Amino acid sequence: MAQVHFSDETLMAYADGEIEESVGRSVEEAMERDPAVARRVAAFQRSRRLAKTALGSHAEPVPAALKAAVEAEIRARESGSVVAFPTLRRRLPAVIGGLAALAASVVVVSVFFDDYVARENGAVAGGPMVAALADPAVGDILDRAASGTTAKTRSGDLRLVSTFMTGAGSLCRELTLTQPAGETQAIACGTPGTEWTITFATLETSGGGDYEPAGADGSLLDAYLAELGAEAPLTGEAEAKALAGGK
Amino acid sequence: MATTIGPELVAVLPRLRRYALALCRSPVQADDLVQSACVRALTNPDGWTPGTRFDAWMFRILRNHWIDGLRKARVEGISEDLDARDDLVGDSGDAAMGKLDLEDVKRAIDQLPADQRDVLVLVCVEDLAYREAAEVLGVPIGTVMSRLARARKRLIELTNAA
Repeated sequence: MAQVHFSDETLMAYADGEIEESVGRSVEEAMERDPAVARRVAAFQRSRRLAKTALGSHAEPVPAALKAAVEAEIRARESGSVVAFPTLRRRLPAVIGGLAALAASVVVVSVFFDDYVARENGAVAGGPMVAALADPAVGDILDRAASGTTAKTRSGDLRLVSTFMTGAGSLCRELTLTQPAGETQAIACGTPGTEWTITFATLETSGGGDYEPAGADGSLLDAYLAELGAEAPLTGEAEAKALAGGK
Repeated sequence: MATTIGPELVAVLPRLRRYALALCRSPVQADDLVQSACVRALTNPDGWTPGTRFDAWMFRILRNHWIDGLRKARVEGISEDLDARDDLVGDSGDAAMGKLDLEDVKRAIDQLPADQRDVLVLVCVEDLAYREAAEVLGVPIGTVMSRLARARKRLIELTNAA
């Protein structure tokens, strides 16, 4: 009787279920005739089980630091992509001081926001923070207040951190809203006197002291600003001129 | 709307890390590798075609990044902190006979040549098809099969001897 020789690759592919049916049938016939062939197939099956059991049975838990870092990247990139192309308006913008879309805007921002809050801070409610930023009075402050100043609003202390142009030529302001429940950092972009759009908002435990937009605290915000192509902050007269320019 | 891969990415993290550990066998390097691969994926989320295997796409990115790192390491002379990996490597050279335990298997896998270990993990642990593993590794399917067969024969020999 003709001896058919099967290569290791063929028997392995049979063991793995990765073989053509016709070849598979001849392997089965050979296994019936020749115990050695059956043993070789069994060994390939066993090796797979061994490898899987040894390496796959207990995937070590992902270190918390790694998971947090990746999640921060996801938030920075995937929420940032909304505004990375501001002219496309991929989602409904949040409008401050405008007439329309207020309710929708709160939802839009808080989708990202609640997600962040839920992951990082457990019980802190994100919605009210964002709603506070939708206060029309905030729009007035954004129109006028110089960076470095703090204004009282119904919702808390609003500090203007900086004013800058983006790579795409939009005027944006970084602001911080301090409330008993925590601190919200946000970026609003728009036209003074017309409308401001919150393009980014997040909770940060405050690092304080650094009022450059690329501050040392809040790597999430940094990542966002980098993506926007934020230019150096406008100060003094340049800022006043930019804010007056929209009128 | 740009492709959103965040949820898939979080879900695949434990397996990405496991694969990274199999490649570089240093937890510190593995974590760096995973994070870099994630950043790379997030930078170009459209590289993944929805409907195709997300895990295979991530494995490929991670592996390419690993190879890039190897090129640099050759220049910079990075040494792996293999000692920290004793949970995978095990004590070497104990002459105990008898029951095959998982440590023996891990040790045997660890002794495989890197290219064989790589394909073994992708196919036998991560359950990629040969074709998918070939795409991750950027080699022909025949190469996947020959490496894989050699790895598994070697694994059987090493563990039979234990």
